[in-house]
Amino acid sequence: MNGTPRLLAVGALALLANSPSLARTNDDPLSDDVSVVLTPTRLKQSLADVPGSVTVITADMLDKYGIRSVPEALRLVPGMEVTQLTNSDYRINYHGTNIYSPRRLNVLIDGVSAYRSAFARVDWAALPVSIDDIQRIEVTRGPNSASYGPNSMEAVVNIITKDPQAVDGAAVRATAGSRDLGEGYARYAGSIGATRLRLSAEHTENKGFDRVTSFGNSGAFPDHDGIRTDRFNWRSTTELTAQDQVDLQFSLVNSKQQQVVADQYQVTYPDVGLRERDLSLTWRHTVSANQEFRVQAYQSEHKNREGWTECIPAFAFLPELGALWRANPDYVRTIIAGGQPSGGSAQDNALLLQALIAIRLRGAAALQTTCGNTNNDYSERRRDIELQHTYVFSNALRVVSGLGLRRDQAASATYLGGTVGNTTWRAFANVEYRPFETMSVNAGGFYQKDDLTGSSFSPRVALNKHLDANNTVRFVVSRADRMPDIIEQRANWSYLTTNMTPPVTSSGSAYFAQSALARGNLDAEKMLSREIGYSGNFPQYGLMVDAKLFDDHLTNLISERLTLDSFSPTNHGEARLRGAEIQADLDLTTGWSVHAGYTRLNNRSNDPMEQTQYSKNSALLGVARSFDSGWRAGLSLYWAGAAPSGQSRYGRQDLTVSKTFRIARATLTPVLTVSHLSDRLTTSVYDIDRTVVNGYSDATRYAASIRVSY
Amino acid sequence: MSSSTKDPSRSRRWWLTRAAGAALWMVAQSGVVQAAPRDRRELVIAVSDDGESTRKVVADLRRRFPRAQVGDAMSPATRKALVIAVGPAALRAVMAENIEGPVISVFTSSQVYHSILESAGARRPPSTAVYAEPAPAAQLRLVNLLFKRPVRTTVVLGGRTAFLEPSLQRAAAATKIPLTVEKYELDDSVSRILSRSVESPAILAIPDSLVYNSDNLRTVLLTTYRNGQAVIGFSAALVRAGALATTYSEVEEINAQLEELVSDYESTGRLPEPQFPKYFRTLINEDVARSLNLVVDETARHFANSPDKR
Repeated sequence: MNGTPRLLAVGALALLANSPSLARTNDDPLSDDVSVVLTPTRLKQSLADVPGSVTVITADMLDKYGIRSVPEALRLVPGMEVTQLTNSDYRINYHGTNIYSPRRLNVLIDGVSAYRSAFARVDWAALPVSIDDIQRIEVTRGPNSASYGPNSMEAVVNIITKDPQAVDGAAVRATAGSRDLGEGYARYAGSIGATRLRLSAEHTENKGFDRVTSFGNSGAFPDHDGIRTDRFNWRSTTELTAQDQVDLQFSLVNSKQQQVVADQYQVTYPDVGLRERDLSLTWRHTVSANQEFRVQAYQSEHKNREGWTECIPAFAFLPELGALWRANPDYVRTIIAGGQPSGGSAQDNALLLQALIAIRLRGAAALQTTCGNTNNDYSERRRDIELQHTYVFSNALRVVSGLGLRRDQAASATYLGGTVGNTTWRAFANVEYRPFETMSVNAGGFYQKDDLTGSSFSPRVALNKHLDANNTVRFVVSRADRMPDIIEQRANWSYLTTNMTPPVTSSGSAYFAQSALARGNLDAEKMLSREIGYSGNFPQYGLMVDAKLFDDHLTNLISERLTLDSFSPTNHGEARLRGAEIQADLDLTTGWSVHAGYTRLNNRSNDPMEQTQYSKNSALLGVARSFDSGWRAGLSLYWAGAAPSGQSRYGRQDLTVSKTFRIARATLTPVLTVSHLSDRLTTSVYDIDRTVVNGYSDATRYAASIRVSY
Repeated sequence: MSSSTKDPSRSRRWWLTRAAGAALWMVAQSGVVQAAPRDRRELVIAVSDDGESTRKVVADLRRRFPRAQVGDAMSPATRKALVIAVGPAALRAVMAENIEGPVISVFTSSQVYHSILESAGARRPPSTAVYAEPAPAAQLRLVNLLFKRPVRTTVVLGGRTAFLEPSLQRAAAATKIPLTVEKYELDDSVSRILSRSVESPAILAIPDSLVYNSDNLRTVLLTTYRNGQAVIGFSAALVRAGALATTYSEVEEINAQLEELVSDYESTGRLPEPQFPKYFRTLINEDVARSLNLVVDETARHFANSPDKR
């Protein structure tokens, strides 16, 4: 700007007042020479330039709509199918598909992936983040490996917590509600020298659903669905120098999750004990206003303990039967069904003979039930280091690139027969280019190579054309892969039952006859996504709209449900997801705000497993009003249509009311949320022949909180 | 800007040494000016340094006030002169002297002006000012132009700027902007105040060293940006650092207003109230605007009030 030199003059004069001799009236902020804080490397792309559709859920929205967990927050994302099979078991897929194995989504918490390496899943109910610590959740609806790394196939959920510099002082929250809901949260933010830190501790518990389908006893719907989770989080930021900032994060989770029995043999509940410990270090080095390096290294350790007592007829533990199973499982199935197996090889027949002899030798004892302990325990550890470089060439060109190395290690006697590791290398680059004011081009690529499967490359190209200052049209083509997980490629699945009474072997331990062994020849699942999108920004009305037509082709899908009885994963699955999606956000000065979304989806697949989670129509609406007096009300409506597969519709209406009081420097906010389900019971399709029904005896639930911050 | 090791107050008082005798006589004076209509007083431009920026200001002032004297060209009638104090240091020095006045302060912010007046005590000469920082009313009108509608705006006032609240409320009413005033108390923290203000898309920054200082300006800009909020104010340096926009005044614009103020005083004999800059132009950080999804148009970019050309 041409006025600059003279304006410096005004500042300079005031600067003279700061000379040390004039001790009385000190700094005049007008004179302060502020170095650029919002450097080009720090500024994010405007939503009109983003190569895809994004949903941003702010901490304010979480408050307004009475949302108390991350999976529930995802209901505010158009197209996100959130199914809760049990209290601790959420199945979440963007645009649905396979409910049994939802693992095509990447979830990051401050850059640390919450996507578990062994089982390719996300423990939604025990994420190492407290809802009160969340600043925003950015969901990129579409593949985005180039920006977010491995497993960013269908969508990316990027959770960003509150910066330690943005919060100060103490905050406390207590919540009570239906189904014995009890929560306590405490946070402290302060400084130690040049370090700003934020600590929080949280306890949450509730009894979950009144009734959950138990596969042990058809017709029984036990009330055994409670969760207790404790969390501790540390996040600190230290300015080592003006150019170097180091962020340290440490999280602990301890969660106890009740589970109903999975089959008729389990005599105790296979409740889960989950422990997680994450440590992450991020170093940001600012080379200049236009160039920045970022190194993030983290370790994430997770232990799952799931043990139970089961009572099974003794013959199921005979080693001879185990050997026969490994050779020809159909033979064993036929024996159990009481038939005469045939059609196998000569070796199969020999093993069959030995098995039959072993059973006869036991006599009546073979059919006698024996009880023992076994488990589904596993632990996994991920170590990851990534170097990212951002360079802003000009107003029109910005490049982000990087390299990463990840080491996953999973240990499980049951699932892996030991420990299996996997090392993944990755490289990525993303170019944001604005050749004209009216157009921006985004091009990026992601390459990864791992031990278990091989290599893959995922490119993305997008063109955003700004029709005018308010309207933008975009065209996006992107590819993304999901590499098979450790269990899919290296499973060595067997159950060692211990402390057996009466014992089958002299040691008191024996292997269950059924087992499974992965062949290890799976390829990556692939997705090709094409979209034509529109984004409209009308600040004069406070309105932002994002709409798209999408066509996603998923191939090489591993659709099969993997069980001990049937473990034959292939890459034969395919699905074509097409439809339209729209999202609107309205923020009016009168205090009204609206967040709305609608998705129309068409799912064509060659495997019915890929249609187990499928709503043709789904919609969400959040309307909130803030009053000057401190009162606030938020109404949220969620709707997902039923599917011919047997999935029932989902409808829920929540009303949240709060009032903020200011007492001296403290803020006190009581909140009340009333939640009503359209149907007391909902049905989800769990497998071709299995549905899960869960629900409540009362369709209405309450939660009341008090929040105090000082 | 050389830093002197001598007692600086002495070096700045050197232009008044000749009036020392008259000063003794004036000790008993209460400092109230006897108004004399059409009193063609002498005009003195008081400066405290010889830097480049000061020289530019002085050169422009000399153009407008050809009969003004600068620095050491003093006469015993100085004490009756109308003094234009350029910058806080000059103002402080002038206030420490026993002169009749009046004194017009320019290129000093409102909070510094008020604190200098407070420490000068009751014996100070009558004074007024053209503040250095942007007029809150202009800033609020800029908010309207940038957001295209009157969005909720939060302004943080510290102890030194609390006096601005009434004029802020008036300006908010005129622009129909829902204004939230947050008071910053001792050992409060800006982060805490900002975390209460997340519903305001705009934060109006008024320079107050208690609230905004070199320690926390960075935090303020980063925190507000992360919340998707825009900061309006208070200087071009701040806009370049990451604030969204501000109105600001160039030397000629301040001096044009000063000229009007002086002729107003000379014709009516009454010293007007301290005032914010009347003439201004706008500076916008286009990169921040784009990143915050704001649509900036020419009306906002050219938002200005120019003095009539001479």
